[in-house]
Amino acid sequence: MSLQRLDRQEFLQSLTRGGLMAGLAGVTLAAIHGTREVSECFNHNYCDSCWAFDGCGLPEKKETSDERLG
Amino acid sequence: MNANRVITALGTLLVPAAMSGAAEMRFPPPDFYSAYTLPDLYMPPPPTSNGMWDAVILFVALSITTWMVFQARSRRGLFLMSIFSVAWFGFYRTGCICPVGSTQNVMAGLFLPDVGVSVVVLSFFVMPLLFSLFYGRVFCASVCPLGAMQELVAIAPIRISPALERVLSMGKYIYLGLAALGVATGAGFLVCRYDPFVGIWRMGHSYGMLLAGGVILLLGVFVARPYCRFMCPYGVLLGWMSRFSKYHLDIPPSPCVSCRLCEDSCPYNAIDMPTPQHLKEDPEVGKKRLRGFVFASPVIIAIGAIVGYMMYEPLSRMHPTVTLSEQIAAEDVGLLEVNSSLETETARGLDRTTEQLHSEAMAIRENFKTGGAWLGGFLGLIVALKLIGLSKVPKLDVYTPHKETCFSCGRCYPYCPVEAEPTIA
Repeated sequence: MSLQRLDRQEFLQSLTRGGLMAGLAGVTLAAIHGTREVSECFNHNYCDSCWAFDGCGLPEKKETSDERLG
Repeated sequence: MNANRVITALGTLLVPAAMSGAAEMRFPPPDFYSAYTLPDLYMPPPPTSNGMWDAVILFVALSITTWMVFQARSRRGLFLMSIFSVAWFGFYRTGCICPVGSTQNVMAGLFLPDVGVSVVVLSFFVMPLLFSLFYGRVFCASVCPLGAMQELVAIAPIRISPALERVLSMGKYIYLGLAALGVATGAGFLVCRYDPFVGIWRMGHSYGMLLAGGVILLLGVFVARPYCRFMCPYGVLLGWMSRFSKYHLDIPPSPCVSCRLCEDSCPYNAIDMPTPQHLKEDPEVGKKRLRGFVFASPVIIAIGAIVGYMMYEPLSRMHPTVTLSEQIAAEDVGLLEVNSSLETETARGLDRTTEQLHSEAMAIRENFKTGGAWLGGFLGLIVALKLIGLSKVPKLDVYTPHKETCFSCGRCYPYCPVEAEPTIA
């Protein structure tokens, strides 16, 4: 592989890497913004912290909801 | 012989687990018509107070693995690291938080305006990607508990044909797209819900998911890392990062002598062969085809978007409200018994009328039209890029790991006879 070709490849790769890093930073900033925190996992069966809680009709979630609302 | 032992051991472990799951489903607690109501069963979540410590441990694990891959070049070290990851991130932390699932949290943060993601979850999402951007997929090598678990059972791996590999690997793009659609439309976190290993980490799940986990592990004995290669949505992002990584694992630590010993060492089809001196095909034909695919790309993307749009109805069934609405409608017209499931029974008992539920479901279906078109367009783009990639012949002088698909697992190390000072190259 010629040196010139390698340099061009290196340059393009560095450029893309920079772009990807900037993209990651952007995603991080966009995702961190917001007030309602998402539960870390869907499978905890901890309905109270589930982000889909309000739209769910399962009985145990309704009980928790009623309890929470008093 | 070893493979037989492992299969027997896995069978001994997984079959009773699946049977106990089935028994639980088949024999519900007896109802003696008393006023006593059974308390709800909750699985205690893993302690979240030490989330920051988890992030620190993840960073340390990634750093050690990077050192193992580049400096120590130790397959044994990576194997031991895999055992640690399965034990810590898998069984002790019960697979949560995991970077694979954190993808959806980040998607929720991006798609839903009022949703924010905690710093811990974000660090779990970003750290492996950053490491991939600089050192390749070291996270997949032995830090990811899902990958590590599959790496440990890959005793007698066979190589599947590259063509089949390409077709099957579309699965992970579809899964990533569906996961994004699920989050954007409020259908839920599909990747977590259908995580085949979470049942094993937590020693209990639905019968179906336990069975899926067992089947994937058994399959993984022969077809190494099937989940990572064909399903993992986070693997797509890691692969994209790794493709442009600054450093990457090299098979020989110093100049390759082209002994071809590593040729069959990789069960993941992740080693690119040197370009043959005489190509089978005239380069002009390849260039012509490449141009054709480039010009056809917008058409492929548009077709994908149209198909995705048309698929909105089956796709919308991902959403529990739509499923519930359909069940209630089926009950109302007599296709199903009234109160055929717990969900419909509860929904009928709520203040919300069935008409409200149906109109809500209709609104959700409308969202799936847009979402389906985006999903189809994304998959069309991937197909177009794959076709373009097929028409390119990389000029390689030596055996080189394919940066996007190489898991940096170090399986090729022992095959390389070249002895030299290990260096980052």
